Amino acid sequence: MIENPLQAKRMAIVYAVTGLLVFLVLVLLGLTMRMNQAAMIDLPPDYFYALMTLHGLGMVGVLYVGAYVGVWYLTAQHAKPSLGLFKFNYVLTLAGVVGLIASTLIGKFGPGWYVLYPLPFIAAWPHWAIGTAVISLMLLGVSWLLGQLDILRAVSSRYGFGNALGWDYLFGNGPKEERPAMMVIVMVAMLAGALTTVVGAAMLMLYLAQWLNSALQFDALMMKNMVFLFGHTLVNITLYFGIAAVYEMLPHFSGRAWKMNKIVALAWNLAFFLVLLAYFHHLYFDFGQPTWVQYLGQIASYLSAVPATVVTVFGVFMQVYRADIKWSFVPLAFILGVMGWIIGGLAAVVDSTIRFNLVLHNSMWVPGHFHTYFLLGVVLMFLGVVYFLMGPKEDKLAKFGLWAIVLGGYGFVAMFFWAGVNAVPRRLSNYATMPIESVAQIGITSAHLSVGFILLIAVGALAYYWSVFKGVKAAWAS
Amino acid sequence: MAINAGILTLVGTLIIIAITKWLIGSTRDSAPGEAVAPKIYGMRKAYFAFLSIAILGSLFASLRGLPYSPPHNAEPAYQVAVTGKMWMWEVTAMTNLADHTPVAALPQGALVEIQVTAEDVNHGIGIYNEAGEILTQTQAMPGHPSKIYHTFTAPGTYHIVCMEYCGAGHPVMNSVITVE
Repeated sequence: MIENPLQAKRMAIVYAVTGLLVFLVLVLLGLTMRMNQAAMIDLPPDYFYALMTLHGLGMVGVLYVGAYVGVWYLTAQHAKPSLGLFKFNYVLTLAGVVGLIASTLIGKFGPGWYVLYPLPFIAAWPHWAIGTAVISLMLLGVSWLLGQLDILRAVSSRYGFGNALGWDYLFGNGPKEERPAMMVIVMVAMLAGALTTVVGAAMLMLYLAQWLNSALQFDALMMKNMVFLFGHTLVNITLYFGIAAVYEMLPHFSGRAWKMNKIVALAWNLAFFLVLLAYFHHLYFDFGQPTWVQYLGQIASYLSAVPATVVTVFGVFMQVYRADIKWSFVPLAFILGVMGWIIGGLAAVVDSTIRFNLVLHNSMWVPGHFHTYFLLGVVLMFLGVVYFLMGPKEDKLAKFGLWAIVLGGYGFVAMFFWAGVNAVPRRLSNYATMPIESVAQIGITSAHLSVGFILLIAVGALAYYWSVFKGVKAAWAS
Repeated sequence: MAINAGILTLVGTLIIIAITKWLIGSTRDSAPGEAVAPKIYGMRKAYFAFLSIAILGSLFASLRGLPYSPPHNAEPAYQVAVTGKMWMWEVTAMTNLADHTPVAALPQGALVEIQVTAEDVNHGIGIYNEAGEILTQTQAMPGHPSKIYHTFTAPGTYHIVCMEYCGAGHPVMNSVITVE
């Protein structure tokens, strides 16, 4: 266990408050984008895409960092991650965020969150904005990699590397000491994260090289593989962090232990390989890929449902079914978060079917599924962890906020799915030039309705913030 | 096809919501964990069997007839070459493969090979019918051409829409293919 729990808690509070505020600002950017698509405002396209880039990068980043902080704090109850590094990473992350804000809002850098090569180097934004964005992303990558390696070090020191991965359950005579089931998830997520963050860092080094020497050219397919191996894994381990928090904290409310066992170990070791292989589903229609890799992408995506549902969902069943739970904010946020994770996962598996992907790829279905498992999955889990951290008493207001976010959230994502089924492409700044009137009309109408749902989400977020921020002072003191 | 994906996801979502509601509702009548464990393990076993069959069955059914080769390995009768560049589609050649002569429009009912490439950044070609359905699509990546196959079953104007974000002009990157 970490030696200075109050300092650790205070730093987690600093991260949490910053994360909640950044999240709300990014929601407002999303609102602005949907208002533009609804033709309620008229942003110049370059500005729309700069906002889209900031919204995407910001949301992926803030949710990763928020979920990491939850896992860091819970890990610190059992092992000794570095508090100094935790503080240093806050500064590094802020520096990266400031750089991204400057490059997007001032430099109008707008290639989208996965900065698909070679778009960052060709479109019309200033040279300084490209360099600032690339260096900012490198700062974030360094901070995340250091954080992942530190957790791997801390947990391995406490339990042993193989044991923490559950290998004593799989290949040995069983454990010498009981340990939290969360640890295997943390290890798998950090290991997959560290390996692929190195790939992401290598890609950014190539970007930096081309920024310094514009005569350089790299293979577009190799770069796309690198960015999706990194980005897909980052998004998935963010979800795993949320699930790790559920494994660790739900037993506090159910009164039933969530025990580590052979099946849990097997499931999460399998998840390690599946998360690294499933990213191929982002490249189904890049014909430079070998065909067998496309098959592998669908098979790995389908198999991901096995550990997720057979082990984790039934683990939740074991926790909740006829348990003596008082449905206060935290367990409610967790179970609704698991529900959103599974629904988003279902939509992802559907989209990972090559024959469905033929008509859904790059349609509004895509933001539909990732907003589902982010907003209605990991965000709800994060809200639960922060609430637990702050320990406010205002349960009713926070619960009102939670339900407003959930209702607004499902309405919001339903608009994406409706538009996706009706072939509305994603990432159009507006639908004025869409040549098929019926598609354009659904795009506009769904965006219009989304605005109302986002406002409901914002109201819910404000109610929740009001409730938890009242607990900050007391949480800071003890 | 897209509507099937929508129905499947909607039904699945409603089932997941119903199960969550049932699970929360079950806590009104609490019992020790050891007492409920056999029931949960039994359900898990049944679900695992169901999921295994569902995954194997759907992989078997869905991994056939993929767009990486012509349907039933038929020979395409016509060829179209399309190049994407910021921010336009250039239909550079439409050819009757029987005699390698250029054509001004494609005939209905013939298998067409669509060769897609990009000059500058990644684009995505989505081919829409007049009803607003995506018939087929693929990426257009610089240095890595793609080939897709489609049989246009009715005459009319088919729209080419860029599906991969490619910069500020992305929304205006549209074109048409005429089928007679």
